[in-house]
Amino acid sequence: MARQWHQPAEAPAQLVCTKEPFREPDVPRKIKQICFGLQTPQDIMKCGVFHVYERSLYKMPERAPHPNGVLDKRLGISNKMSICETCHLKLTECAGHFGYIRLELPVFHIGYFKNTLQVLQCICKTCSRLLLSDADKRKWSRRFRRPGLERVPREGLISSAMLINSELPGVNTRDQGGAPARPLRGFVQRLKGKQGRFRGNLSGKRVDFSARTVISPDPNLAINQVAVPLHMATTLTYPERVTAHNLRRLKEAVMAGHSAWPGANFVEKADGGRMYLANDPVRRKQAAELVVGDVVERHLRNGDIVLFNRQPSLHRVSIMAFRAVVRPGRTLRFNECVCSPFNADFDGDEMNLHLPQTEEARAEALTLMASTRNLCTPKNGETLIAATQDFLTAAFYLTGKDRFFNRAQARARGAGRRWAPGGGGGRAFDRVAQLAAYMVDALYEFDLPRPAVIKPQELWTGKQLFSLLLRPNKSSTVWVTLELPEREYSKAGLHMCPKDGYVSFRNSELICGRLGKVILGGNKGGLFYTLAADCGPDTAAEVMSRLAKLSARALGEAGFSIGIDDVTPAASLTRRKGEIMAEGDARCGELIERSRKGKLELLPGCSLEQSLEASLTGVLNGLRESAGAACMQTLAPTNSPLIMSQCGSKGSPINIAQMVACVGQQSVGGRRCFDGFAGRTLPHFNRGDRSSAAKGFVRASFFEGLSPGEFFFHTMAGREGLVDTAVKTAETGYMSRRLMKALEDLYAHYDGTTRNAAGAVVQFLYGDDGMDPVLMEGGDGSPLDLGRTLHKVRAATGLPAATAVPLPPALAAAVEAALGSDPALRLSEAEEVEGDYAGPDGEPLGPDALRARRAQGKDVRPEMKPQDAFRGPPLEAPPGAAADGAYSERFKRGVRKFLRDTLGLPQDARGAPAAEYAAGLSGLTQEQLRAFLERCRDKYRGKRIDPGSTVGAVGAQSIGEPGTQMTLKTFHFAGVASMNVTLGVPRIKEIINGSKNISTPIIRVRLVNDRDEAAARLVQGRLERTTLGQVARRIAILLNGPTNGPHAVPSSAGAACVEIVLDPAVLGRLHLAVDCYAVALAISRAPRLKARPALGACVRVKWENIVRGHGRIYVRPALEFSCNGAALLFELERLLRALPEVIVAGIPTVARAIVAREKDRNQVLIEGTNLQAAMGVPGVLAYETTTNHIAEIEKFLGIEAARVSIMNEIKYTMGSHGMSIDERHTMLLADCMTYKGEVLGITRFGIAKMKDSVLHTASFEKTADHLFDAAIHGRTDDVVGVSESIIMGIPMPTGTGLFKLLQDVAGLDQVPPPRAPPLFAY
Amino acid sequence: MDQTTRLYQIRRTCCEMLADRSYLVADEDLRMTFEEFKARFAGDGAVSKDQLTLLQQHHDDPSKKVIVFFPEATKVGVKEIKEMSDKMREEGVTRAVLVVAANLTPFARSVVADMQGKQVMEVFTEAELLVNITKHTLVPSHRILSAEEKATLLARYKVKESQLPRIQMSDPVARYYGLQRGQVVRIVRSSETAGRYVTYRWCV
Repeated sequence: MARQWHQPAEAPAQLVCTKEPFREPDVPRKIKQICFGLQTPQDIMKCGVFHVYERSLYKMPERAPHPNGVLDKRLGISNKMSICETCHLKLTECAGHFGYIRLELPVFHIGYFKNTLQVLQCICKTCSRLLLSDADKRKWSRRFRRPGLERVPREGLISSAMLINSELPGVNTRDQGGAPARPLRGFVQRLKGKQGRFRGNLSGKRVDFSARTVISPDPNLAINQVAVPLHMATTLTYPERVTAHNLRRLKEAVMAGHSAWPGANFVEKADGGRMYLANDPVRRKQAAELVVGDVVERHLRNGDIVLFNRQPSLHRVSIMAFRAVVRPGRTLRFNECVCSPFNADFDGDEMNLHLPQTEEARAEALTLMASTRNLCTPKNGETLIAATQDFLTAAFYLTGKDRFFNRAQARARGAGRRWAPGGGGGRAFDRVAQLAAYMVDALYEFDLPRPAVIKPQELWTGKQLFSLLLRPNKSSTVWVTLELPEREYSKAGLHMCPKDGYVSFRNSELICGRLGKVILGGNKGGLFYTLAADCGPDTAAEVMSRLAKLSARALGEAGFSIGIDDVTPAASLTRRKGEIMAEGDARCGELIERSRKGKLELLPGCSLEQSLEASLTGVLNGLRESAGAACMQTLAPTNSPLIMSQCGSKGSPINIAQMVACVGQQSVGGRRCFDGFAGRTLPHFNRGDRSSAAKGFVRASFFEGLSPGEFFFHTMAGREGLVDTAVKTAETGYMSRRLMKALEDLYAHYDGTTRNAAGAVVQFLYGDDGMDPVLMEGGDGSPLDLGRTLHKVRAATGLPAATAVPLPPALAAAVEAALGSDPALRLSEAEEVEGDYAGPDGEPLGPDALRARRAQGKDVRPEMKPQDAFRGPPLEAPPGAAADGAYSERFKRGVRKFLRDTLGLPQDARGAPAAEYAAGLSGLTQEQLRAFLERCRDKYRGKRIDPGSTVGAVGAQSIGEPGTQMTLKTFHFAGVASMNVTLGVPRIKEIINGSKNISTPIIRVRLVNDRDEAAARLVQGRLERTTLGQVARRIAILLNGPTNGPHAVPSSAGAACVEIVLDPAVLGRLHLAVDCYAVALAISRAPRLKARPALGACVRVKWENIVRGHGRIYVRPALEFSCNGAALLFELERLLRALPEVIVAGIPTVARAIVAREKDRNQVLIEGTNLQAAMGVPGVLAYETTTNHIAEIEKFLGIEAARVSIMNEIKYTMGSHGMSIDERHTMLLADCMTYKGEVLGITRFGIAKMKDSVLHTASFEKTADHLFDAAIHGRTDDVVGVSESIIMGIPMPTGTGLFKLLQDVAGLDQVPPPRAPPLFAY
Repeated sequence: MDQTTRLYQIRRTCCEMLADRSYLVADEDLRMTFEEFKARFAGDGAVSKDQLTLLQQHHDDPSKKVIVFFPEATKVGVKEIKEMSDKMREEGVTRAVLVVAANLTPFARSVVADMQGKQVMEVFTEAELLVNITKHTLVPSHRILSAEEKATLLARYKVKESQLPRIQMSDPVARYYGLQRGQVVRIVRSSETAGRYVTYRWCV
């Protein structure tokens, strides 16, 4: 590059840039494909530089490596002194060379051993011919040549195999020859594993220009700044090309040299020479000779763009671009607001810093990776970079209603300007508030507002200060309007909330409300989110920086600490706690007593023991809660932990209650502490003691201190947490890796589709509507927050003096006229009724409405009958296709509904024109409406996903990252207390693995009659597996069965039989319609009853051998057993044992069914599988019966239903951990798992089916197997995916690498036309 | 559940299935109530399965017919298959739906598999047809594309058919519609993000 540089004076016509632009390498050098295959002996010989045949390592007595031995210097060298004899390079440059060994006898290649075996299985062992027809043989004969087979000594085989793979199954390390302690490292071992060639060196590369050290916080830095220690700045360099504009600066840098900052380390001359600026003479010479075109490797300067990263890099915001600020000290520093994307704290964390080396890299980093561009997480669009901890406390403190600032406090030095309220009529303030000055740097202009209190003293409120923070002077154009309840909101009174919990910003002025986490945290609709969306992310970052500075100083001045008196309980609390505990003890004692007497009423589906535990747990949790509630009442408003919990900066009411009042129940595995000793938790309790203290209830608070027993229980629970964290890290890490490998090559393309690297369509439109999840404004993933948009439009346009408000119907027409060209926002009703799932009002039907329609026998589904004409839009433009101007149906419906709700009256109140007019008065002018719709349209268009977006990788991160925050082992009750479902990481794992067996399969059965309890019980009885043993009063052997009468047992085999007496009471209780006939039928069909008599054949209990009637069944052994008495007796005994297990009613795979009530509707929950059978049971509403078992859904309802189910299950699992993930991410995962037509798990087997690339699968798992397999089959790899491109060092076709410029060279003249150099060429 | 109700539900699903495949099915068959069913087929108590046999013409091409067999035997063997095959030949029908109570014998299964080509026999179990799965809330609507529509689709997205998302021929919904290898099915889903979304799957 540098060698091609020309002085512009010499070649003025040529385009010269500050840096040579990147060009694709010439065509023949590009790797298009990699072919795998087997090496022939000739190939191997060609690879080697010489034939290795010498046994001995050294030649004596010279002690030199033996020529033609394995230490020959032609194979490469191992010390810094010598030089390789093949390539004549030094140790660092020479990679080493292969030699080859001629084996005395042929041996098996261990990698191909399986394949060799397969080949051998295909040939006749006597004549060596293929076991194929002649035609087939001819076809294949050329491919499989039979290797000459001879007996080779075992040791030889093994040692040659060891060179390839040293981890052979069944081979002891002793057989390896050589030292037994350290196993050999074969070729396979070099390739495989995390440190192997594939994952260690090819997929992960080492970089220069990087730094790492401990991090520390600095609220004085802006959101986009990172403080770099001086020492680092003198080592990290950037190659800057000398131009006329920077010549002087770079000369100074060269003069400063490598030790002084800002200096330079190297100068690279145009002719290729490279000079280290070691000492003064060199520096002086180089500075004097520095000319335009040279490259100076100058030190890192203030304002340089650096990448900042913290491991584990779980999502894309784990590495962001910052502006460097060089500071003395030894740590990397940044604003605490940026902690959360990195998940960093300052307890010794270290972080990495990289300095991009080209202008392109800097430009891309600045526009794509800058921290200000990544305020929001792509997981769900919430702001991740937002105020935290002390900033929240300070804001809460400052905006309190009792906070006033006088002029004395407002005294400050430095910057200020005159401000004349009301157009120059009032007094002039000559100084700005000191606190205001805290926010910013010097020389910043402030317009101090009129004080809130003028007499007797001028006083400003904290809220005014905050308004100033948002909009410091009158020239600022930051306008924020926002209303949101804080967490302290009393749920009444809106702006007049007694707790001042309702926050309202009007045109950047804080009207009311104490600020806390809801407003200043990452919430959608919060202050920083609104700022970023309406005023741009840079404004949001600026305000955040100001808040950080102000908070740190204000809190430092006010002082905020925590002491022992903060957690000392008041006397009244101690008394109240005693009462609560006494009452709790009484209740527990009563429960235990009742259970001992067996009088405890059972919870549905629970045993006595379980019922007792559930009730006790409920009582004990209630104790902690009521103690906590009592504690919160006694705390002073100035109590520090209370303030922190109120504003959301740290801690929760539970934490406070544990410190002050009561620690509460300690649980292990979701239960009370288990018994470590026989019948008791600790030896000083009585056996079988179920009381609260004996099972881990800690009644002391942390302030009081725990008793030894309580302390032990506390450590039990604590240990579980630690183990959980340790296991979780590994589990989720592996899960993230698999997700990433499966989804990495899915990108959004220019035609709106999501495709994989091979070009196969995974989604026809990304996320069904082609929108970017990070830009979604609605909490539910809808693109726009319409209410806020309308506010904004109203604030921006304002009402004209004479308002001509059109009636809503006229409004619609007006909009239609205004936006007639835009079909999306047309308000005509005709279009929306046509929507498939739409009700008459254009709303999508909820499940209830769908039910109602189904109940009426109406078919809500379109196109159920193919006879119907093709009703949808024409094929050329599917709904929501990527064509510009297309809008999703939901968006269109949302806008219409919003307008109707905001402008019009409820549907039924419409009609009277007067009422309509009244409604219209509070509505919008035509002008505003048009502006609103235009804004909606423009914003919607701006939120489309960009072609080239790595939607797959982002999706994988968005699902993998929340996994790390989930607790590992969680169970949760699915409707009733006794039915647990797996949740947390194990459940996510089950779903994405596509497991065929899940730990808690549950079928949710909806009922035709869901109001009537009895009907539900009836269905429950039909579903639940009931065995004969459960419904029989007696099962016994009768040696003398009845020989006459209606129950006469045919007496060919004697009268011996097994008698079963049914219990009508049980049958009645279970609502089972089981009679003797049904039982007999069940016995005759039961597979388990098959016996194997001496004769050999299997014998069922034959129908004619079962005699039945009047609640009694007699089962007679088969005729074959009657030959001798012993056999007969054994058979009778066997029947006696097996008969109770016969299933007489219900679905055999259903272990338990429980009636659960949900919102007035009964449903039956089934613990077990077989959805199909459950759907077929009478009384079951089959069309709404679902299961959480995805493999079952796939089997019985098809791949589409499985896809929906995957999405629902992930959403449910994440939701029950309080995590929200944009629908589009789970959708992409579900589509990826199902687009091949079957549910593929994100495992090595599933991924191998999804991807065709050898390098991709080899870099994932089972490296060697995939490579050997590829070689045997002669596979090729097109190097199009992400992993392959990284391995080959080719820019991957993603993001800015997706598009290519193609030029038809044939029609061009040889010489391109000359053009003027661009304006900024120099 | 008693056998009459079972058969009533199965026959109703069969009628719906044929109607969804564009065969001409009488309205009274589709809307038949349980009482009507009992009156027509179960005059003397038990339903004779032979009576249930359906023979319907295609909507577009009356010569294209389908026949639905309800064999009496629990385990259908080669003998029954041969009989049904003869019946098909008599009627000039190439496609049949076989509703078996439990399953085929392994031999019968291979006979059915060998038959493919001249005659097509689709085997369903009674349990599968007890409920019409396409009416389930989780199952979106499917529709088979004509050859022209398929060509338009491939041109619109510039894809080969192998690059489309797939559906297996053994997929329950694919079997319901009698999907053939190489056909493309158009699926209209209700979508949480977009309201409505159309996708396509290629049958393999």
